[in-house]
Amino acid sequence: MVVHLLQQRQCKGNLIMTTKHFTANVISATKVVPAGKFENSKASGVWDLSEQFDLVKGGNWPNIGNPATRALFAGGYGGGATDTVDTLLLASAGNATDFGNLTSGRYYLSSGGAASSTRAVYAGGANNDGDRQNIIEYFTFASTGNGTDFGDIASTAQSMAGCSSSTRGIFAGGET
Amino acid sequence: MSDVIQYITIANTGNATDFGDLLSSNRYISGTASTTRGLFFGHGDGGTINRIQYITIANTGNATDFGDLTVGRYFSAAAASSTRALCGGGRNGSTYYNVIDYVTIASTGNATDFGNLITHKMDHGAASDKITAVFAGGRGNSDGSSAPTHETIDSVTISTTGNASDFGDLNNDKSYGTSGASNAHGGIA
Repeated sequence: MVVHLLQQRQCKGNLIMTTKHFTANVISATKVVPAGKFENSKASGVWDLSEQFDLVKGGNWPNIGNPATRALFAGGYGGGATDTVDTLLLASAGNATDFGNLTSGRYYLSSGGAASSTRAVYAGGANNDGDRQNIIEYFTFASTGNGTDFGDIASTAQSMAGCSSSTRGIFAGGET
Repeated sequence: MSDVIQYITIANTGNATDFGDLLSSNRYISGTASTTRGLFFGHGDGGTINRIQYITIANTGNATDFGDLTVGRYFSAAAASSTRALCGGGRNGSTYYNVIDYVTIASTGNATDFGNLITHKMDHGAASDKITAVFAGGRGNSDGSSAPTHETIDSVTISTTGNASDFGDLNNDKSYGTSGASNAHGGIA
């Protein structure tokens, strides 16, 4: 909205009154209930301007381009090599839910997947017969579903370490 | 065992490419990263099992020594904000640990005690955003037995120190090396 404020200034000894236009917003007195894109934010509740500044500075202020932080846990062993992938939202404690399935059941995947803000990538592991795999597969965080083939690591391996920047995924060591 | 470090470009499907070598052939190590450095904790191959090593992710090359864990162990799990990396749990022989160590990623040096996981365990997974780290699943007990398996998820606030608190449970039994990943970990700007 545009706010019209009467401005007073001196000009050659004469007092002149002018109107100046400011773009502004009104802070509502109505309580803000976190919902929608703010629902899973760390910045829940009602904030004053000082708090809002701190939250923005700390990178914790919610915005449309900052979707909920999602973690995936893929594979493992539960009565056999499992293909299940669980998911949880890090902003709020609670139980994990089903996200999808690996392309095949495996345990001892890379310890730590490689992930960007959109993709989680997992490599290696052993199948139910204990055979090591060279599979790399990926999931898209924004949509539940099953893994998709990405490519291969250099040789079959289990128990590698994984990590990444936002663009480059790393897989290191392991049992080959 | 392998000392190979390989990399992919996450946005593009394809096979992995050689990056460099670890300090030695290592299995059962755990990894995490900031936007610039990748860190690897412990290993299961005798000798210096408390070793922390790192790479600069943007530049191919071999790993460099970072420092030591407070307790040597393997089958741990690691997570990080953009500045601090945590390494939780793990095993050495018949001893299962609940120890959480932390390091400041941008420096080098030995790890410092952060606190404890709720349970002593190995083979768990970890994930984080820039505030919270969770350690999920795994198996083991303080008495040195590999049972029970754990569906529990422990959480800590990365910027503080202290013991983990209960976050919730996994949807499935995921002992023996479930792998964690998130869309806002410390390696993502």
